[in-house]
Amino acid sequence: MDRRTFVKTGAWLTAAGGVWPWFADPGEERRAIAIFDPALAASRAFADDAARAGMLAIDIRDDIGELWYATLAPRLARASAPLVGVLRASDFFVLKQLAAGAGHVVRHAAQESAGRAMAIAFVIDCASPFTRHEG
Amino acid sequence: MLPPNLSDARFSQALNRFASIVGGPHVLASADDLATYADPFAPSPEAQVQVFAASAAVLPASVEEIRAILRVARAYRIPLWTISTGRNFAYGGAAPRLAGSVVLDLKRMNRILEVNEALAYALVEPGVTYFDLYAHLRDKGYRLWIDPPASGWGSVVGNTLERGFGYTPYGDHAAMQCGMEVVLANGDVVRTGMGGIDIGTAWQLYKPGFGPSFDALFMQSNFGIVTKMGIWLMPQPSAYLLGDIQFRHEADLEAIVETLRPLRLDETIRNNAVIEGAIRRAASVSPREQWYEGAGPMPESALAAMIDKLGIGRWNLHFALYGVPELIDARYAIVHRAFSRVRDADIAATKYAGDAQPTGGADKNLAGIPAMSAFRMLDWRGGAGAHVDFSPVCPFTGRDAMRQYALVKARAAEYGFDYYGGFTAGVRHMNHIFAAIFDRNDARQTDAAGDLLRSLMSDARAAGYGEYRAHLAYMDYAAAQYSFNDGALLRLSETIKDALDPAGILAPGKQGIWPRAWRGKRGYT
Repeated sequence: MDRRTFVKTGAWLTAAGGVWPWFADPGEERRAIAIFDPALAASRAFADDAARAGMLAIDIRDDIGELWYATLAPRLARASAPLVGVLRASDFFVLKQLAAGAGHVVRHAAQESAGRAMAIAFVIDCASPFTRHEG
Repeated sequence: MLPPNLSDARFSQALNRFASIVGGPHVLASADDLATYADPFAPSPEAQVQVFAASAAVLPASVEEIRAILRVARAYRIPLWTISTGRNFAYGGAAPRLAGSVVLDLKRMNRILEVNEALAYALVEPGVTYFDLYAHLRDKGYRLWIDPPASGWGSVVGNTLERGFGYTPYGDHAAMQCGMEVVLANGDVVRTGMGGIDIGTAWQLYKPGFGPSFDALFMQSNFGIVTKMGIWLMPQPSAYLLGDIQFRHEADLEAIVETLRPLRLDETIRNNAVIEGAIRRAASVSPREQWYEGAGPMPESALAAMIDKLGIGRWNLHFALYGVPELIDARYAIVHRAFSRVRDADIAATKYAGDAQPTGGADKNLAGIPAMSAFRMLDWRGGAGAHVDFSPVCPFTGRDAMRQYALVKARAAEYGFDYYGGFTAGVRHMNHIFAAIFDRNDARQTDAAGDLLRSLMSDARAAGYGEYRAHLAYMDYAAAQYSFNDGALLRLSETIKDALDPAGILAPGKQGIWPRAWRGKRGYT
């Protein structure tokens, strides 16, 4: 792992509201879900750190929509948990819209630019999503 | 923000009445809540975003709740802006055309009411997304495909009503719709076609019924609230082939279109094949700064270097063939032979079993699998990416395609934008989609995108072309361009509007159709 990248990522999340202490002992039922994009160095470093902190780290596997509908939304419907991660700007935009549409709140978002390309570190507080009616 | 012509006190009364219908948590009026109904891609300065601001949102869970909401809206003369999921980004998202409208958000009505595998259809409510329907079909083991648009998070009903399209043989979504339930402004509930027989079994099978047929009246209009819709689904093929043909030269567009048209007309290629420009292909895998960091459109030298490095075409034709392997082989031989005549064309194809899944969003879409990777285009220009789309209908001829391409490319360059676009092939027409991608935190870029769209619409109309869809900011202009006989078409629409919705409560201004009560609010034409 690139040490500088690791430090930088940790710094973002600290700047984004001191989230690491918040996740240190969340209790099993609200253990944070970490989302990462293996194509981004900063995101890979974040994932390593999140795993060490005991979080479930999930690879977005090239499609944030698929991840939301197939994995995150069903999981959050069963038990709310914060989402934390580092994603490219476009994927974060989609995730934020999906989470907001389900009634979740973006608590913190910080960005880092490499040139004009942005990566976003974020925390989304997830609670009380809408439920599907049985048809 | 208040609804027009309504006092604070009266609006508070109305909100209380809405809350008594749907429950307090389902009436949203705080600034934070309403932020989710703003248009994140508005191609205008911050102050103008208020032009499309909602005053509140109400989220019903049933037809009966909608009818009760309509009673309140009629009593207080509150305009309602109906959305299914409100993800029609690049065209306005969830934001209303008339400032102060209350958004009627139908996302809680998200039941998949029926799937019939033998007759290959589903009946859904407006809150059902393409991802939802796809997951339902897979979970239950139905051997049926959906046809997702490029962004699968949208509503099946909403996308169909806006005449959205996908990429399989069922890509013309409006054509694949069969049977609607509609709540009219007066609260009456209508079922179209065979749905008029309340114990019938053919609502999703035969569109017209006894006639007349009204379904199209409720598409791209503000004549009613669609609460259920039948949608035909594609039987899972035994196999399919995904083809990708790369073309080297800019001028090849004419030959590509002329070669593709007969193959679409005779149904050798049955899907909505896509001809995409190099930048659209490149933007899915790389940011612009990797190839060019200067201002203005990418110069030819940078474009050529990018094409070489990425191994993509100046134009790229993405198509698919479906069916039994023997049929696929025969059709592919015809397609291969036809496009081999285009100089330097590089043809590739991959075969899949019917239940196999390709990777990559564009390939998934051709296999009936929803994806969201199309949004990676937002990273092309960097910053907080956004886009607004110009969507002229293009006759299916090489001459028209080249004419539109040249027009759009030149005008986009003048305003500092790259040509990010492509053509989705219908049968006798193509949907030409150009996206002006901008950083929404950059006021200069955002302004330029807005100005560019207006110029493109003017240019296209002068050449005899019209848009099939437009952002809120240009709806009046787009409608006014259909000006035969001094705007007889819009007069007809507004005559129908006034008859069906005399109080003018349903989506005033949608598609340029203004009810008598709000006609003074019409914008730039």
